[in-house]
Amino acid sequence: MKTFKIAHLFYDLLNMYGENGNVRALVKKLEEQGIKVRVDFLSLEDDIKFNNYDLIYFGSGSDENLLLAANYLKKYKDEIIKAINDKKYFIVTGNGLEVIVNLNVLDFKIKQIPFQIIGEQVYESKLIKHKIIGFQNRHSIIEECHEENLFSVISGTGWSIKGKYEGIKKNNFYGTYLLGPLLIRNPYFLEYLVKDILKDKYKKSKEDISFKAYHEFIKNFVN
Amino acid sequence: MTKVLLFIIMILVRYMKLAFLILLNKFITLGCKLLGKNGTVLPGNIIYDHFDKKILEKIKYPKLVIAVTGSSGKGSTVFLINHILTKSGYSVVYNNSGSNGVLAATTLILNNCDIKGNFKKDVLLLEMDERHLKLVFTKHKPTHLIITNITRDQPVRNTSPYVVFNDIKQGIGKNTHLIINADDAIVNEISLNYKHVTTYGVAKTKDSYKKSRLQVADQAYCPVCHTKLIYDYYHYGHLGSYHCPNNDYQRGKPDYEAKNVDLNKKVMKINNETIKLDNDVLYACYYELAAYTLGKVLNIDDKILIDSFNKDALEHKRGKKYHIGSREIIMLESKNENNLSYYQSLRYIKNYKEKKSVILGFNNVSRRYKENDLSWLYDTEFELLNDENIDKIFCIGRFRYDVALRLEYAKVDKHKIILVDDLNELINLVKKKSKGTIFTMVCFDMTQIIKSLIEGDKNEDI
Repeated sequence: MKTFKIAHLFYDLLNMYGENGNVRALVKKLEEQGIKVRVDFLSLEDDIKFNNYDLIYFGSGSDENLLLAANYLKKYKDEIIKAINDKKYFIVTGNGLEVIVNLNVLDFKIKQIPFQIIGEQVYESKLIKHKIIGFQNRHSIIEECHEENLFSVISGTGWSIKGKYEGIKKNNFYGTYLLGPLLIRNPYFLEYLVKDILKDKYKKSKEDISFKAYHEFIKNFVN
Repeated sequence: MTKVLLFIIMILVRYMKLAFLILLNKFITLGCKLLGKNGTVLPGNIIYDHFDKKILEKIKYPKLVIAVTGSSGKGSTVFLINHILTKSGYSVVYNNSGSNGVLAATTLILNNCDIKGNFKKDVLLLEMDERHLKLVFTKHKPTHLIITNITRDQPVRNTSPYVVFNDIKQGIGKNTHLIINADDAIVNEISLNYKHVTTYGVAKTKDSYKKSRLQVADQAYCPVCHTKLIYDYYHYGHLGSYHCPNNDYQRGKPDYEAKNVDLNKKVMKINNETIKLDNDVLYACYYELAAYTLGKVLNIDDKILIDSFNKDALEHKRGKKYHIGSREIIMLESKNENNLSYYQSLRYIKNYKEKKSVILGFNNVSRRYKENDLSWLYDTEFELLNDENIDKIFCIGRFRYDVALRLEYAKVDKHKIILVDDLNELINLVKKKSKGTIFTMVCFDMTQIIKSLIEGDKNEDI
């Protein structure tokens, strides 16, 4: 396989909760599969060629930084729509979803609320049989979502406070309010993504310590 | 006539209420002490939460009300300021217990007032939680406010550094004299909008670096024109020397700058005076510099000021040393959820050039809340543990696998990592399987556990 190219967008604006860990997790897992990976760190002032990348990632930021990023991406709106339709991978975590909604590239709306939703979340997904664990800290909710959900809520908060679903999935766009290094904390979800990227080239690998960390957390805090 | 009478009654009720609450505060504090409790929070809790949230607005404060806030370094700064001011002849009240929220401040302030609400000492000196500053200084504002730094800290509670920054601003009055760390590109933004500002900073040191690591520089862009800031060097995190290419914002030359920092010799120079450091870490420069700068702002006698650091410095409370058999164990308390607190410990360990082993881990992320957010592990530069002098790293606690996984991402040699499933076996494992001086880099909960294990080991030896 040719070099797998990742664009870590707004690495210096939208990277508030150790979210560099998500890109590191993808790199590690792909490299273990023998794939060469290149990561470009891009931000304001860079010319972003979405077509040149296999996967685009960005994470959480302050309200000011979210606005800066959204304004910067406006000129790329058509390219982003094309990239999603062309089934390029997008992974967006935390309130980075607010950047997407500002661009009107997917069919959902976000409403700001006057308090923070903070807490641990447990979800399930049709994509994998293991639970998803993670953390949220946001002051917005998703309304009028006409996109497919990514997760169902077991405990915690969904699109809205009492919502049953969370996250957005369209083709290979994966967006969630979960923040932080969720691909490191959810090794089964990471495995699913890498399998999906590599298709029949994926080779089954041994479970490493990330699986132990996951199961220990489930044992101590979920079950 | 009726109006005058009513007015007199209202005044009496007001004073009586204040007197009643002050006496109640003192009474509960006494009760706590008699029961062997420290009583720093409970009295304030009862008064503030159950009687009067505006009680602190009714106090007649002294001429000097000094607050110290920021993500880290507050306690050490306050400790030094108290030393300097006391030596200068001021009577000072300060929260030396480490409790720094509005409830502890209420207890402290009311305990030092007469029943009319007159504060009885020359100086009120408060280490203030950065989110609680605005709750204490609702009406009366501090005369002097030191802001040490604003960094990623307890994201569960604080969200982002900018939320903290906005809260701090609400505690500032138009006459408050601000003493700020200009190396911090978030804190220094305050100099754009306030008049009375004195700055301090640390000049480039041999540990400064040019490129931001782990992409966790929080203020990467100019707050005025949003152009990328150019950093000439970083000290750590987003602290360093920076400027906007359009000249809209810069660190500039601080009013008081520490130069020629030599951590091995534990000295730095300010205004050509050599100042001793009480600890061989960079953050010691910051808290000493903050206290020094306040001393200059208050026109403290130069000799008294400098002697406070060089001649009669008080013993520092951090980095306590113990022994396991003949091996030294240095306990570095590191605050979970604060990547720069861990960075200081990591840098300290890295700078130790002899054979060493490390104990790392935690049972709970926080002692304030039940949530266990682990994101900060990936904002922390554990890559510094790639060090040939490190013999073994022991991962302990309920999150030992997460910690070991982080070390794996830092590319630490797997053979050096030992997972400790049974904490009671820790000391035996350290004795049998590792070499060198032992450093613990753990949070508060584990510090106590390890101290008891060391104590237990001593008793066994006897």
